[in-house]
Amino acid sequence: MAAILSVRGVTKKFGELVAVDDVSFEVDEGEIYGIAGPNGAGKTSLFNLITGIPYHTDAGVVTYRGEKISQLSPHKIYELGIARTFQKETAFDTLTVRENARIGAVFGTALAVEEYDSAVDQALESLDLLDDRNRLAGELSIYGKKRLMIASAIVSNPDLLMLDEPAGGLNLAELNELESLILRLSHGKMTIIIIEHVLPLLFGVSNRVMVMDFGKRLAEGAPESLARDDTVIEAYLGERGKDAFHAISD
Amino acid sequence: MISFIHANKKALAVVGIVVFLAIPLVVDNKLLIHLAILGMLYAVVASNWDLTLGYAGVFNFAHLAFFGIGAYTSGILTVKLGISPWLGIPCGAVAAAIASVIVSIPAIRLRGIYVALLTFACSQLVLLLLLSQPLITGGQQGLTGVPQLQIGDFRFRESKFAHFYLVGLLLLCSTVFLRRLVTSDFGLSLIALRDFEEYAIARGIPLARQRLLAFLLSSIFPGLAGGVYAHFLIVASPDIFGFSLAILLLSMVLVGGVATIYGPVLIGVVMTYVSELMASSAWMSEIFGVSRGPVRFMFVAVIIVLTMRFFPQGVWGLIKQYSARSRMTEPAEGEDRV
Ligand SMILES: Nc1ncnc2c1ncn2[C@@H]1O[C@H](COP(=O)(O)OP(=O)(O)OP(=O)(O)O)[C@@H](O)[C@H]1O
Ligand SMILES: [Mg+2]
Repeated sequence: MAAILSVRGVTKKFGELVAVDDVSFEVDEGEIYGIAGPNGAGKTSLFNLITGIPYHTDAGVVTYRGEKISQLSPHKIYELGIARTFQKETAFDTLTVRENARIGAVFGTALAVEEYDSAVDQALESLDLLDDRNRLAGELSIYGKKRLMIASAIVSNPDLLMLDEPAGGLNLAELNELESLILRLSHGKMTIIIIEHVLPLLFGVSNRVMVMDFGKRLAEGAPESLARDDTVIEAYLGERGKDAFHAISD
Repeated sequence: MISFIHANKKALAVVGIVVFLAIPLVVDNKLLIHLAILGMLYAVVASNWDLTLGYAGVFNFAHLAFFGIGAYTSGILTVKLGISPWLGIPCGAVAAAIASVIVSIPAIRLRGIYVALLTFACSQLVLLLLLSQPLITGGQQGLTGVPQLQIGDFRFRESKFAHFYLVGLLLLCSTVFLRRLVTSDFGLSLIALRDFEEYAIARGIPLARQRLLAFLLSSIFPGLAGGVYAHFLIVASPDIFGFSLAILLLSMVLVGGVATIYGPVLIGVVMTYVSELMASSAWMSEIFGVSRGPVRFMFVAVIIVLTMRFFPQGVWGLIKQYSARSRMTEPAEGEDRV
């Protein structure tokens, strides 16, 4: 399988702090690539410098389908077919749910004008938001906003979807819905990178997982092999966390 | 009542326009007509300001300069070069548009208070430039002898109706233009950038281009209005760049309701009456024991503060709120939002 995204030696510094430290990895076409790591590991910063929002990488290169994108403007990166969500639930609060999703369809996409409405409805439908379409996005619950953010990301049918902790704060039923949505999108040939603290979800959907800590890439591998790798688990969760992890994953 | 208004929007708009057309036929008071014309010109400027200030959320304090540049461009071209005002006015709009692009380029990347400072500085720069060339611009006294509008032998200032209908048409065109703009996908993108810049950019919205367009599109009608203003008053005065006019126009946007367009149009006319009638009524200054100008200025400031405190959504925002409540239905497509 060819790599759709290739990240080579990217680095992001905030003064003394190295938030992302010389990280390299490749994501294959069609795969679900997971990223795990404790708070402050640099996962979101890595997303930021790949998408150019709000900053680019200080060093190294990001290539997408062979094209260098590391210094491209963010809206151009979206135009190439890379759509991300944010860790914090984020919406255009004064626009309606439908208008929120429409924003994802109109600018820099391959959709024709007459396709906007059906693409929007389809995206809202798949996130169970169709009934809320005329409500203001600001009125939605946290889970609602998170779903809407995914809807606006998938409305243009991007080739690469980047989800930053989509499961944060969800209950069990919502988690299951999210998991099946991710698998459905993946079967529709979307490549997905997902940052997640909820490990059962992450390990359940991902083909491969990278573990980060202190800005560095700590390990990468299939979920089963990582789950057995106690050094990784321990570095990530600490001694007690390791036991807890085995308790849930067994 | 309000649901009735809602059900008959189109019919009411037609009735409103008919009533408007009849005003100069029934009103015989020169001052009232004069103020209506002035008010409609200010309404054009204020409602266009709402595009940058309200929809784009950009504190553009060079907006009045677009109006001033329109006035001076048409004034100078007609006085010094003797061209027709009908050509001078569109030239004023072009000059305003060019100025808007120049000021928007540095302003686009800045945020909040810095945008306000930069744009205000730009507008003061234009003023200084005008004052520094008294031979061309008339300096502190302003450019006098600006020719009035004329079609053949028909002189606009000798007619009670001509300016009224001309400016009314300008306001109508400007309002239709703005409403179409803000309900389009372009308008959507401005609101998205205002609501959450990073998220909007992450959905492919080119920030610099959209903001530049917002400045540009908000400058054209004020540029035209500036030219008409100069030929209507037969003078182009540096007062256009003054603080008191800026505050008056700002009050029209804020009291009318930001990001509504209709609000500043409506309150633009109303505030002009209120403020001008206050300036011309002697009793106000007797009560407060100060000269008239400052009282008017204070009054406008108090209105702004009260609005921001008690109904920040403005008059049009209130109307919308009540109409939404009385309908108790979902907002329809293309409905405006605050
Ligand atoms: N804009 C910024 N300025 C300064 N420091 C920052 C900035 N953004 C992130 N950091 C720091 O960089 C480090 C990595 O942050 P990042 O948000 O990428 O971590 P994360 O892995 O996403 O964590 P979490 O799981 O909590 O979301 C943290 O120490 C954070 O405090
Ligand atoms: Mg994060």
